[in-house]
Amino acid sequence: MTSAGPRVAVTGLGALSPLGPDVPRLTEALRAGRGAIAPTGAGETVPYRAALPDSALHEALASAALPPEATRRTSRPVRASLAVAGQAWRDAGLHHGGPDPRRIGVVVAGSNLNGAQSAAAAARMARDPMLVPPRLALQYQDTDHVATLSEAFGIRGEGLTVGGASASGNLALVQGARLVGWGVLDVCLVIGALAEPAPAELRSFLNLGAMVPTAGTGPGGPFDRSHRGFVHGPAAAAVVLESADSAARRSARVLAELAGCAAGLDANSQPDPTVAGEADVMARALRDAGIGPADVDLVGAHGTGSPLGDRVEADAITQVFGDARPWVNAVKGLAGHALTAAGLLSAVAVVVQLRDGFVHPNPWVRDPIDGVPELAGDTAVTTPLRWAVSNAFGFGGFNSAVVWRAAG
Amino acid sequence: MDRTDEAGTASDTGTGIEPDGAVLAAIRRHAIAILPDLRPADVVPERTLAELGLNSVDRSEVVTNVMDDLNVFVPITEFRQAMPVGDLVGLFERYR
Repeated sequence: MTSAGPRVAVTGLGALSPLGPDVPRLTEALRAGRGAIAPTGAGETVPYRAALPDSALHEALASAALPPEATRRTSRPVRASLAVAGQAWRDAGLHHGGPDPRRIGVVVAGSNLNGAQSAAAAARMARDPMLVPPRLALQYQDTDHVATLSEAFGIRGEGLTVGGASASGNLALVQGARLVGWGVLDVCLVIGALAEPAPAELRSFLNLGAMVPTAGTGPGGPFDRSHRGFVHGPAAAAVVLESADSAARRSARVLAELAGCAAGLDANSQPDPTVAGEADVMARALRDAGIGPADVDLVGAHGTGSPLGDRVEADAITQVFGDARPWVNAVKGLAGHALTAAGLLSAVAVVVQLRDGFVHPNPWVRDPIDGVPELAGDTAVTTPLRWAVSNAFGFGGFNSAVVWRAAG
Repeated sequence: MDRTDEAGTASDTGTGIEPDGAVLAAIRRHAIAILPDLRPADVVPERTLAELGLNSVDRSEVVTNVMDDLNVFVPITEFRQAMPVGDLVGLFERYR
């Protein structure tokens, strides 16, 4: 058996995040190290947020250039999926024509995406059950994203959602890469859907101790001693995965290659990450790609800013990479934590860094935790990158790592 | 065609209360939230929501949202298929 990995081409990207409504502006913010985390103000349930304003969603939809009827009958989270999918679809040139629609699939990352809408409906139900919106039956289900995307883009191949807490984004990439790698699909649209948790759901992360709890000493940041938990940063992101043959047939520009991946469980239902579990998926993903630790130039860390999570990931990176010391950065220090979409946003960030040859800065780092790997500093490092790893870990022991290779 | 200032004029509310246009405005707002490419001027008393492209789930959603907005509860059995918007306005006005 070969360990050459799935070797799937990336031909399109889309992103709507607190760092901007599209990939060019995400790239600009990453290069500048321009973060979006800010205090929320009085009466808010959390002290910090990286905001995703409606204006960004409108701009993202405009850049997707969808026909006007595409946003009919859609919830806000689904409109975000349509926006990033449309950006990625155009980026891949699929609007000029692509494979047989039965050879195109869609995998949506995340579960329990629409808690805010369900909570609003519950409040109406408390007034009178007749006030429950009938369309909630369609929209509370995460599969609404899959169905609406299939309608908007005429997709007739396989479609599904993939849930794995904050590792969902990577797990969706793993499934998408397998569907393409196994020859089931020529093109797979992988979407990190915008998660809009109910206010109580979001607050439960804070009460659990996972989020920055108070305005106090500032939001802190991943791998710095100032870290006090994560900051919410809602986002959606999209990657078009495509077989090398299909990309070649339609002369598509290849942005990077998904060269290897691995996922695994910790056999532990708690929010307690383990060095062994995280190191195992990174090591297996490298083997899947057929490379060694010394080949890797950049690790896009999961790096939430949780003191325990940062400690465990830093130790796991050290265990796998030892003296190889690739650059490490964490997009959550700039954009906040997109929960189930985080893996997809990290993936897009890593691919643009591979494509453009830079390592985004970690400007919040002033006093790194002990044993921390080679963190990029206040300014971007301009350097050719060949291989990168992006990590995503989730509550309940979901571990995942994806290996990316620069195009060409 | 543009009758946006004639809220409720095509309907006979039968209540003797002059409609204030709030019901038509709410119907219009919720119809457009569902079909963003619909123009406000398209939602006029003479036309049915079905003619404007709203399917049965859409129509049910408009009615539910108008009830929620205006705090008016109309028994579901009162709604008939193919009611012109003006008749819908009249029905809501009866229960306001």
